[in-house]
Amino acid sequence: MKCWNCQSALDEALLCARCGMPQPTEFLGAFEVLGLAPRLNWDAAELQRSYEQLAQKCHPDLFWAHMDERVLTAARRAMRTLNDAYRELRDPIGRLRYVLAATGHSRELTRTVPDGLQESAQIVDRVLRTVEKARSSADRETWEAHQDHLASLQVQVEKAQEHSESVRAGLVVEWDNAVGNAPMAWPQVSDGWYEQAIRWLGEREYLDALTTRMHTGRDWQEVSEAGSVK
Amino acid sequence: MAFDFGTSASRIAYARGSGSALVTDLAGDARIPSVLAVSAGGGVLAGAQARDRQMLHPEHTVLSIRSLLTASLEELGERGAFFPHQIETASGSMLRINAGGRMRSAIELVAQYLAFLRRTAEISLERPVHSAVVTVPVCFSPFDRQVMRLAARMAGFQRVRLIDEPTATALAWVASGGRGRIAVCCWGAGYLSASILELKTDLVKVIATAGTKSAGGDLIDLQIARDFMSRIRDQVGTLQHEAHVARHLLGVAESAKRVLAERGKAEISVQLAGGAGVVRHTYTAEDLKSWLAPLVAEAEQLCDRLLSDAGMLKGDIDTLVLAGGMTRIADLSTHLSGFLGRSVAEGFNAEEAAVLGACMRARILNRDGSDLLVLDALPCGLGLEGAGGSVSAILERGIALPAGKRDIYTTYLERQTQVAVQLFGNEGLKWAPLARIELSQIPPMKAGIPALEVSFEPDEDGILEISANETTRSKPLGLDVRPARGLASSVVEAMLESLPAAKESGFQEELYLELRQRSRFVLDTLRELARRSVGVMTRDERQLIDKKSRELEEVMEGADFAEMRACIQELEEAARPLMQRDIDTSLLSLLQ
Repeated sequence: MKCWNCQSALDEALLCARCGMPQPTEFLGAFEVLGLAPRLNWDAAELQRSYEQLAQKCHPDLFWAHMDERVLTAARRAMRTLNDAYRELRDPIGRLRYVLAATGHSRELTRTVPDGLQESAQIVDRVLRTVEKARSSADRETWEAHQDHLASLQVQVEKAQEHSESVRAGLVVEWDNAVGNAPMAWPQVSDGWYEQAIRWLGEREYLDALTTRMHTGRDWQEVSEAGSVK
Repeated sequence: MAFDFGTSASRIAYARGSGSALVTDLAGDARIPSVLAVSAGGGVLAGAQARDRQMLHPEHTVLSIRSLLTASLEELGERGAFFPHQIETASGSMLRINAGGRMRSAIELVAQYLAFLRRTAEISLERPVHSAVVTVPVCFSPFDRQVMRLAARMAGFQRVRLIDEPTATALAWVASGGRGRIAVCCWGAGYLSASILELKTDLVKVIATAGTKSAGGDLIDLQIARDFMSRIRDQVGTLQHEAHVARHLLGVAESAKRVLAERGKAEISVQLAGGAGVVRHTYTAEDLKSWLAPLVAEAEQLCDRLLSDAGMLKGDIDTLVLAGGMTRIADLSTHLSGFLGRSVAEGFNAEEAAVLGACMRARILNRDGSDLLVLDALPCGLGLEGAGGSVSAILERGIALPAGKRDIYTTYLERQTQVAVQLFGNEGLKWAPLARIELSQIPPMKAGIPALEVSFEPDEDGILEISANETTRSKPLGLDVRPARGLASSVVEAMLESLPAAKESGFQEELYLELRQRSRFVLDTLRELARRSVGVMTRDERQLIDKKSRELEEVMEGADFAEMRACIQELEEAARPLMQRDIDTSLLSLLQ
């Protein structure tokens, strides 16, 4: 790859090392774009710093005075790539999702009931359905009658969530250890790691969806305010 | 140059020394009313002059010119006599308004007004102005923004950069030393726009942003004017010259609103012409409160959305910065500070903040003594209709600009050559249709085989660039974008092509053009006025006006700038008694 402006050879980067021009690259991975090792454990402030430093070099506003549409277009594309990369990597779950997608594992993702909830999953669903129906038909009595049950189920879900977090911590440590001392190279991890990570993400999605439903189910006010009841 | 193109008034600023200075119009006023008047013969009058003459010809004079870009036919229709122009929608999406005896599209009127602002700047600075930073309300959709940029290009600006009003206001706040996490609310006559931003020494970042067009201050003026109009009707029965009365009342209502907000009481009293008596009514703080209630509810919803988009709670914000005329109503600023959990920053010029901030943006773009980088956010989330009619998000509201996303479509019929895609936007919780995108020239293949890749790429102005390719054969596809509000892509292209080439005309030439348009307007409208007053003119009056008109017509074709000005003035002077009589007969005179 060569720089579109000064023709010097490009290192894998958003900016040409020689002339400083932004590069309209589309084939760099998100970690490479941000110039960071493909680690899962990042301090949010550190990520933000990398993003902002690069933005200070490739945002189209910085090239407005060049009066050259080519430069502006290159900067716009570089900034798009940077924004995309930062958006994908800025939160821990996004990073895990990205690592799976970038290694061709995202297709296998499906929502999965976590082990700890296998037995109560059906009960949770049934109670939630009852509560949701009561809410939408303004049947406050039925709604109230199920709140205690819902609260106790919520405790179980919260426990499953805690467990899920500890599993994630383990996945992160294993991945980051594999990154080890070759900071810019993608690590070799076992197939088992990928399997576990995919399963974990599936469980996480299940838990997130369930948590949202539970929060709504326990909140009566929202419905009456939205005016969908008499 | 920076242009704060507001709903009721506009301001212009330029970089001077290490700060900014405001441009004033010919009368020395920095507040330039966003009013445009056009006459049949191609005459144009804008700003304070147009506002001052609106009583003579309300049907030629369009108020709140910017809101034409987002108003719907129904909304304007409901205004009745308060919007005395015939309206229609042309090619399905852009409003056309009858002004000066001809249907003109909203973009044409906006472009004419922006050209007036550009000329005002050029005349004041005595140099040509080619590029502009123009403010826009947050609720302008990607297609509204496209129209705005195109209008600015039509107005003669070669390079245009848009800036959201809260971002501009935040920049002014930075210039006065502000740091930290701030919430900015810009509440004017047409729109409410709000953002949460993070301010650092070298970076301004928009964290969340939201806007609405259902909370503008114009709505209050309209309420008051409507109420008073019905009181006049109760007293006199049917009204002649309804449009004149309505226009008059809008002005009265605007001041009444301000008095009401300041003193909690405002009396409007209007003496009817022809001895029909006096109509008088005192409005109270209670009235104002009830009119404001729906606006306050809208603002609360907006603040809630803003906080939840930013992932913040009340009180996570360091400072609340307010700008725009509506925030001077104490009640409203109290509400806003309640919704966001912060007291309002003191000692800040709420009226000029946006233009000064936009000027700072211009300085940043020119690398003129500022290294500040501004990272804007997408105000309106974008989504596409999937199978079964549900909409799924492709670009979420609040992501950093410029952004981009690709989506793949395919055909479902054998040898299908066209596919339509519905694009949706979400400003609030609901999805609303934004545009219909038609892909054509698909190479004939089996159903489901073509890979139609469509890119949706909002640029740093929030304007959406859309492109489409068939990737299995890497062929560009035909593309037709028809926004629900705005201009179809084919129309935009045609208009861009027909833009006059960049010309190096001096500001002198612009000055003559300005004066010629003004002369044309004065001549046109006086002719109309003479026709409807022929019976009440004295012979001397008629002769004098006739003489002065001819003089002006002659001078107009020449190039003597001072002479032209003098002639316009002499003609207006000659016609003044006639004009005053016209206002008196068609109207009523304001007592208080």
